[in-house]
Amino acid sequence: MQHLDPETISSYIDGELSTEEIAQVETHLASCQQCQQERRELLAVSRMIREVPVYQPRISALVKDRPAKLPAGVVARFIRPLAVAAIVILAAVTGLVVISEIIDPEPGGTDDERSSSQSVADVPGPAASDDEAPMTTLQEAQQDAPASGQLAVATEEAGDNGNGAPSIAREIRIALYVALGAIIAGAAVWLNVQRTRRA
Amino acid sequence: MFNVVLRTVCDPALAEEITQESFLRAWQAIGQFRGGSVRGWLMRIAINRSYDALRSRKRRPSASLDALDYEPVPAWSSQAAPSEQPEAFTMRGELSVALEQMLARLPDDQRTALLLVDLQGLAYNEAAGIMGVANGTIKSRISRALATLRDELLANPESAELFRADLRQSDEEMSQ
Repeated sequence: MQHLDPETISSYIDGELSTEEIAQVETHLASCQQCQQERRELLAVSRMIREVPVYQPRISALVKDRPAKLPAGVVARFIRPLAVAAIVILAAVTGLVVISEIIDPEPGGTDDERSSSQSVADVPGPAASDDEAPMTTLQEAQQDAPASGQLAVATEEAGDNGNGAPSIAREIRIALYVALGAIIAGAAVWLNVQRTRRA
Repeated sequence: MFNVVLRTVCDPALAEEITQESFLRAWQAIGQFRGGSVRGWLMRIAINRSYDALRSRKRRPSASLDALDYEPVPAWSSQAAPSEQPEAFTMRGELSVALEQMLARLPDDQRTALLLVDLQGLAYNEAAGIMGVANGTIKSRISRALATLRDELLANPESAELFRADLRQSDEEMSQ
């Protein structure tokens, strides 16, 4: 009788044989005490290897004082394009806001107030025409709060250019936008300098 | 990974350094990763680095795993069945210690193949990819390593007794 070679037995133990080979090995093992013994012993050793103690590295050894540096490939491929895209988008948004502030100065009254006045005017039925009818919530709100639309009219009548205090706020806003634009431009220059240094 | 490296270089401090460096090298060379198993790729880096360290050191260090400043977590302690007798539990522990010493004496290529397949649970083709050899080479290395360990266990009277007792224990468990 030809016995199983050790490689076949270890492959059988490790589950590396095909279904056909497994059938052949099991047929042989059923009738061969020597190969059965060989399989028992090698299987026991294999099991013991799986059960050897598992060691853990010390935590202190895993965290050394190394600079956390991104590899050049990751910076070039992902980080820099994202930074450039963010700067371009920020610059575009800032520019649009500044242009809109300059071209279209803030009209008297806010959008909310204009829309609420419109809403009240559009309300049909007795509430709009009957003085005795109970006030709507919107009407109450209009009466309670000083309308900035009225303020705008007053300042306009006084010879101002449309509004007083809002005009100052608009200038501050423009200054802030310009400062933000300067920061973005600075960031773009810095990024370019870093790239030049690496190159 | 650490356990394979540790048993290859037999030096805890060096094994820690190699493990850490392997992760760093993998991170720095992430652009060269061609897909496939990340674990296998990391393991290949670690094993190549371990072999480099062994070559540069020329000879194996005198430190053995018995002298490690580590708190081992034996798998056999957690895998012991609740019904397992204390004697059997102790016997498994003693056998494990004897096996560690024999494992350290195996040729590097046989030990690595055996650890990758039996300890790490990799398939032969994964181990072959990591070690850069053919499937058949892994098969013969594992076969020779298992046979060598079995022969060494049986050659020593003390470990032979433990080994035979372990075999009887396994037979009883199989028959139940």
